[in-house]
Amino acid sequence: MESLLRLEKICKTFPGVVANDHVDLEILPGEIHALLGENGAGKTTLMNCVYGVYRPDSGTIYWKGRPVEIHQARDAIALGIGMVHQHFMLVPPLTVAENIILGLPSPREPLLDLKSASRQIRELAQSYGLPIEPDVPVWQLPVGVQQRVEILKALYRQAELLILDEPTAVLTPGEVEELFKVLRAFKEKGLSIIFISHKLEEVMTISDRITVMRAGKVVDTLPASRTNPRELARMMVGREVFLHIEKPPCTPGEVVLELENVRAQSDRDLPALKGISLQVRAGEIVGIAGVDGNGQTELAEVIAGLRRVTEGRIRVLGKDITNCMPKDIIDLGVAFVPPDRQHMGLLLDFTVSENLIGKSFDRPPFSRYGFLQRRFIENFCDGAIRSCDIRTPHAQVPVKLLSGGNQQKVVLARELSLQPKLLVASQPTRGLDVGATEYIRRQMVEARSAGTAILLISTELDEVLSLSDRIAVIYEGEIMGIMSAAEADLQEIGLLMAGSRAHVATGTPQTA
Amino acid sequence: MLRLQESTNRWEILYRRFLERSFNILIPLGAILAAFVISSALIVARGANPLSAYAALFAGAFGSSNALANTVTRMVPIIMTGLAVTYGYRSGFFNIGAEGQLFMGAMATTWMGITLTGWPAWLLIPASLLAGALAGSLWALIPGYLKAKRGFNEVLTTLLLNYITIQLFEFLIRVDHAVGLGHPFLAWIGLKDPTQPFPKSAYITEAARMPSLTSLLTWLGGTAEDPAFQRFTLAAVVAVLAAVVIYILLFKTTTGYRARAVGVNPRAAQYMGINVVRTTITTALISGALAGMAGSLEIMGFQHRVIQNFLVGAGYDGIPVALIGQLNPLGVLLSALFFGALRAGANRMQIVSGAPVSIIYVIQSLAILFAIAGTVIDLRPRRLKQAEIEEAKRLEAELALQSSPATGTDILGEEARHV
Amino acid sequence: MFSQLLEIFTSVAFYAAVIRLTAPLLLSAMGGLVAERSGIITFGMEGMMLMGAIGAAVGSYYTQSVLGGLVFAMLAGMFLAFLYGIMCVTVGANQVVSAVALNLGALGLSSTIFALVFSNKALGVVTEVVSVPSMRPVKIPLLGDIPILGDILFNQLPLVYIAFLAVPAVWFVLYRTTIGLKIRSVGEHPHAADTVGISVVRVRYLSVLFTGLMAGLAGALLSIGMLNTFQENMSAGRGFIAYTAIVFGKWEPFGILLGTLLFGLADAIQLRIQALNLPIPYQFWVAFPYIVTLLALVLFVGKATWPAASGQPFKRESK
Repeated sequence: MESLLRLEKICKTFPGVVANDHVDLEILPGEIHALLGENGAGKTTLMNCVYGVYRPDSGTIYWKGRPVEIHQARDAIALGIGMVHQHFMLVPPLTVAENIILGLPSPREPLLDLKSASRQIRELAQSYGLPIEPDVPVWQLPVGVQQRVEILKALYRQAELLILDEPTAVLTPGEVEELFKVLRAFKEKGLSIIFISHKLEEVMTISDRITVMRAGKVVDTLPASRTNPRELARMMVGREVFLHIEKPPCTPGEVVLELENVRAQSDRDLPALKGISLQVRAGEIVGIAGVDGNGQTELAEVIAGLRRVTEGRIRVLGKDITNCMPKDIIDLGVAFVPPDRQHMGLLLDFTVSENLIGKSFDRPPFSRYGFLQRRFIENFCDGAIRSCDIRTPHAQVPVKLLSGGNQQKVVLARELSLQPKLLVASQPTRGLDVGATEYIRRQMVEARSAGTAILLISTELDEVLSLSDRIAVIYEGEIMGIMSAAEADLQEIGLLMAGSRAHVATGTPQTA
Repeated sequence: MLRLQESTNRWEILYRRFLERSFNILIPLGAILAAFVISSALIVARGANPLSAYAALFAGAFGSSNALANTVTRMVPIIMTGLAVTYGYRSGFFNIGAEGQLFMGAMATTWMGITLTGWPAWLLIPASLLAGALAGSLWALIPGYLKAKRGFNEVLTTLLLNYITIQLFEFLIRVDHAVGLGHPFLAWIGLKDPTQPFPKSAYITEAARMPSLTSLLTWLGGTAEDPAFQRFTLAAVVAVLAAVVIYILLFKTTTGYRARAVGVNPRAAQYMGINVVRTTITTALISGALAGMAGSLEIMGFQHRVIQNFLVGAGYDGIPVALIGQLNPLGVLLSALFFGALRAGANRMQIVSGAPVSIIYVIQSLAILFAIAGTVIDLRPRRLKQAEIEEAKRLEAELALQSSPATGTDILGEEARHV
Repeated sequence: MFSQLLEIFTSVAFYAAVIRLTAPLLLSAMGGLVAERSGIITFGMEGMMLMGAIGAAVGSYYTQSVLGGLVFAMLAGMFLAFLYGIMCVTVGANQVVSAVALNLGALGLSSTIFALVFSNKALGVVTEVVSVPSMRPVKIPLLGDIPILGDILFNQLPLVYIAFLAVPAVWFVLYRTTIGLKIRSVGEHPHAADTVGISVVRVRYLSVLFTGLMAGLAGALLSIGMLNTFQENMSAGRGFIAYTAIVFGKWEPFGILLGTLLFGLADAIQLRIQALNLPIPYQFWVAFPYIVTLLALVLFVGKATWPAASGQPFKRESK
């Protein structure tokens, strides 16, 4: 069978990083092809090359056997390639219909023809089983529906190849099922699909063939029917088995963090936390599992004093910190590794050393009478750089020049240097390579052994399972259940993450 | 061997840092040069020789003690407004309102100088300066508060306040000044000299004026023949000191750390425990105080009274001065010298060569544009950029190399411990 | 005093003046709105207006026709807009800073050109006021004959009509055409626009050039519309007022119309009340529109209405 898309020796480098190294890939008509690999393996970069977002440095792209030049997204669209980015490319104030026809010539050029566009979109949506309301502004739609809009946007442009970048990251298990059904329907109609993911189970479920990438290179391409998760895992990380972090047994001490029926609003002023009650004790790691966007960000922020609590109490070591200033909470011994190190955890334009003292610059010995004490700061930073293995030429380098892993080490070094009683770690290993991930995880386990209470918030279920002593599942701003990690049952956690409380006897019945 | 490598590394780093630093000065210098070259086209269009025009410009700025006094006089207010913009900009408060704050400062200082005529100089001079700083601060507090508490864009609010301030000024210099019981409030805050028909204030009392070089020489027992010496006043010294103080405040103190952190990323600053609201308001107060002092120094050091249009535009000039100065308080001194010299020498240029005074605005504008473009676009020599990329690559490679075996042994170690 | 006020507020000439004084602000603001919606902060309209004013004077002088003046005005405004575009779009510099620099440059360039073209060659200064051909009011047939309303609305300079017609026109383009959809999407989410093949760079350049064109016409209205000569810095902050009106009008054409009318009204009141001896100083009336705008911003305008990508440079390969 002739291939729909074929990539030959695609190379793409960014300053300091080889993102794609002589990548070959072949997509057949009507197949679901998974692109599997860890964060930073080069999957998204490769697809961005296909979609014209980046220009490959070398290599050839063949479309239906003919070599093609894709300079920009417009070229890819014209060929029949559609892409749903991980961060949706939708314009929030525009309506669904406006988003879908954006950039296309109108039949009544130069006038818009929203009426007929709406009609066509309805028909198209119906034929694929993707119900949609074309005249609603996109920002009002839930995430799952926005994804539907993105898919329709590609279909409306008569895409023959649909690239989906981590489409399940924002979906509940139920929505994932729904999506898979739709994808299979597409396949029936002859569409090809590239499915980018780092989740083995999903890839095994949905795809016909699987290409595994590691460190910018293709490891292998093989049919899903002739492989298994274990083999894929080995190819993905280049080692035989997943690491299992060894932890000494948990010896929980006094209650360090206590949340009591906490409620808070989201940025859009919708209820984000709906009465969370939770305890974390000294020397234990409590993991919060859940699909992205179910109140995790808000939970971390209310504890750190960055978001207003509308109802309920938060106590640290018995002291009420509800709606206290962040500074007071930090001084009580609460450290926080935020989910977004680029925009929150670090001052990117500041130097490594300025970032390392970010939470202690106004304490002695780093400052005296309001003046910064350079010698103490330099000594401290040199020590931190050495002990935490931060790879930087010197402490005066702007932190934005470091790699993601080293940046996160700076964050963690700063937080742990405060010798916290409580560490709130939100997505601490997101986007890091294996080495840095392991380092960060081990540091957390060490802090736990030293008696720090740790609240780990992560959407990586693996991470939560392997690090936590107790696991709480969050869904739409509510804790669905708390269990000890030893008794944790994967299936039950999955159900709880999807909002079903059927199996938990202690749960209160859900309203609305 | 490791030692050797380390030491060469250190030299390399120092050398590279030196190159980076010198580039910070080279960009504005190159920008100024390019601005002069391009602007010469306008002089040629006028039928004059650019070189002789620029020579006249230079002579008008530095050629005599009188010219130098002119330049220094022009520099003082724009150093202060340049500092106001620099401190604000670094701290996320883009103060377009230096103009209005300057007028408030000038009014407050003038009021002190025409009201508290009985005060001795040692008290009245600092008090007048303080009054100017306070007036500027309070005026900047409005946009500062609105930004900190309500999230309003300060560019717009400060701009609007400028227009309102100028009209307030126009109004107050038309209200007769009178102090004492029985006078209405308006007369009390009015600035106009009641003995004059024109909208201007009386001269401030002798004790409120900045001592000049002449008075210093006289005090030392000498005599000063050159009348220009009267225009070299303590105001210039205060302005230079202010630049040094702001430099230290911005880069060596916790206040400056907080301010810069908020300027770079308020969300991250808040996360680090910095009170963003308080810091933003503090920044506005400091920036406003500097701009207010610009007005004070102009009145106390040079004009000694307020009059219609007494110093239009110096507040806005603070923006280009700050930018050419690379948003560094010490750089502001240099760029204020450039701006002051242009303004001081422009008239002589026009008289000698016929090139219109307005050309200097074109020169300034081009210099700013080139300077910002030069800063945004990475104009550093290829060698420097290459070095940075190489460095990143090397680190990345090192990391990749070390991570797998290193963690491998660690895991073994851990396993050994637990088995 | 009351009768004097009544006389002002009942006179047809007063309202005609309101319309006339609103027009340059409206022209400029409608141009600025388009660029604003594409994500460019139009702080540089002040300079574009000034360039338009000198362009109109010079063009009108050399071609001895008003039309020639208008063409020059548009070109001059677009010239500055093009430079602004380079700074904002291609270089990606801070837009407000670039605008401040270009406004300063326009002040210098317009005055220099004025001196070069109109000055006494020996002295290098403009010794006499040179008057150039200027626009004349055009009375619209039929509509102009309506009592009162005809004199207020339909006996104005041609550019005044264009200014007011621009409001529905810009609205229509923004909300009813494909190019309008492109402009709005670029201002809200340039990366999304980019991924469906819209050239962010082209849309922004064209939007800024349109701003230059409109601001240039607004400048022409000042120099060869209301006067017949150029004066140094004759825009006198009107470009900033137009910008303020855009914010006041929450980036919607009809809201902006309201904002500019407010300024026009205040300007007209201020011009007339100066002559009267009122207990309220006339400086208050000059400051009045600014005070109203500040209060309106503080009391009514939220911060959510800004185009999301306003002021942010767009870089394709920023990963």
